[in-house]
Amino acid sequence: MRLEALTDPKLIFADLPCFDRSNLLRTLAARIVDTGRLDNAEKLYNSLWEREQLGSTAIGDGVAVPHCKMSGLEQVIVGVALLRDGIDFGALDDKDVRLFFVVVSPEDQPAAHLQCLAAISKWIKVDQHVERIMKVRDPASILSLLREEG
Amino acid sequence: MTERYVVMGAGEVGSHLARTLSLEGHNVVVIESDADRRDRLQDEIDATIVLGNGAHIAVLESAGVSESDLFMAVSSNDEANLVAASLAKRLGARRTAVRVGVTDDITVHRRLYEAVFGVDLLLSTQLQATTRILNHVLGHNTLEIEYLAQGKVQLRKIHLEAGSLLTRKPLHEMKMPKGSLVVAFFRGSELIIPSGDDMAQAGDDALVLSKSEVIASVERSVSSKPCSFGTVVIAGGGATSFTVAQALAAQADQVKIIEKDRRRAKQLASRFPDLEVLNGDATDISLLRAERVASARAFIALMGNDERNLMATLLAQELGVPRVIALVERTETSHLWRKLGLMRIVSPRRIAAERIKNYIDRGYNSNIVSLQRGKAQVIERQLAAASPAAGVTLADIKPPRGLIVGAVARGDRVFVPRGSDRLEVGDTVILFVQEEHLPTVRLLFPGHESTQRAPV
Repeated sequence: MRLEALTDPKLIFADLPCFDRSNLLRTLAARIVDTGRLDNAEKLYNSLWEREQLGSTAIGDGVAVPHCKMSGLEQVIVGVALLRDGIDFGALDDKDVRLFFVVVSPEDQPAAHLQCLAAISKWIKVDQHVERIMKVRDPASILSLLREEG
Repeated sequence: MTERYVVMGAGEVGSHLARTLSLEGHNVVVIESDADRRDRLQDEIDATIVLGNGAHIAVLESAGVSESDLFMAVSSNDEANLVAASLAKRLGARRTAVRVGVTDDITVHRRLYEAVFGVDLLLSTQLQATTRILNHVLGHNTLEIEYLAQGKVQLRKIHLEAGSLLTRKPLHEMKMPKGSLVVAFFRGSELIIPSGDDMAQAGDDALVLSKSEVIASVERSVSSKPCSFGTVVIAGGGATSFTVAQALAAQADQVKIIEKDRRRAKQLASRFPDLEVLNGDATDISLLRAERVASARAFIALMGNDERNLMATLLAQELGVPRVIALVERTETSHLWRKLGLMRIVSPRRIAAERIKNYIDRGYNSNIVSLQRGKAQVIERQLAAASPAAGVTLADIKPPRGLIVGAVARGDRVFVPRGSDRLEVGDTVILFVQEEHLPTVRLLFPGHESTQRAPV
């Protein structure tokens, strides 16, 4: 699955000023709605929050992948957010999280949803990917990094 | 780090735990309702002992449960243990571990018990003892994971000799019995979660997951050993005997139960027509001779009385039965049994204490079976609506090498999923995961890590 095809520069948020988990998810929901792909930020926030209740989506090494499925969406979208200072996201390794991949998928495409999450998880595991993405700030460089094979 | 522990019940399990934990320098409080027992324990260990009923809030409060890292309810009263754990949790205990005796109800309704009573680790001593006894009788190695998919699924480690089919064909060419799957190979210190192209080597142990009803035929199909077990004689017709007999019925040529109580013997015989039930005294050598116990493959003493079990096993040993197994309640005598040559003894209380200690030593990690020191884990997860894996077929998941979706429990049904099978909300899935895939699994199969699992 090609990750960069699922995102676009408008979905890349560098230096988000967030201070905790709920604030981060609210901000992400609002920014995604701002791009016009979805229309209800409250609903999106609730779905992301509900998923976190099943177990944190922080997967270690300062990365988290909040995600949910929504109706009224045509294809999977991936947003990337970088924080200047990490926040506690309930990671098992207790590390604060600075890099977020947010995945929102159409309700009727569970397979695409899961495959996108698996692809992100695979991309993150590649040596240096996370370190490099944390260093760059502009959307174009982030997109070109995502283009690299997972 | 010094932790705070509260132990309810100063019987064998509780005093063993209290002694071990206080020797390790932890802060231990014991709740015991019997003054004599309290006095005995007080002389022996460095712990605070509160006299009273652990199912009473005032007693729990004076034992300081609100500050405790783990509350262990291990008295001999199942109901009191559950109630006390529930109260302790409400009062602020960080975690609770409960030991119960009964098997069936707990196996089937474990999640409900855990949820209702706020139990983090729920163990059934009878079930654990049964597993150990079966391992002794059959010489196999069923991992003590009694609760996978409510007991419908078992994991067994099978040693592979050179003649085993698994060492001659790659996995995808093996015709395993329906409802079974090879999920790992242990090769020396290495653990391999195999894909279809992998093949075992002679000397490996294969870890096989299987529906409980077909595990015996799985063992026959991968093991090169002849699998006839001859006759098994069980002395005593109590609840443990019954569970053991049921499990053996599929594998032994014949299972005989000797029960002294006439009414109980009659009941057993009418409920289980396949078993041969004798009304008699298993400590009577003339009865054992008359029943040709000498030719049995195994003799198991489960009479609920250590002295009678000792007598019967000595007789069976004298008659030349090759495998003699006894259940011993009072573990302090276990070295004496061994002196008499009775090596296969099973002590339910000791097993319970060891299991709770293991839970503590592993950082209260109870949800998973850790294989080969954490190189792989067995995880049981129930799919919620927000779980990414819900609604997806196995083929869509394309599990990477090192991740196996081993079994799915849906309602009363358990199956080993194939590519076209779709996972549904409410399914319980059992996953085998090599360490490096754990983050991915947490993402795709989220769930609270709260169910009980034994360390291996």
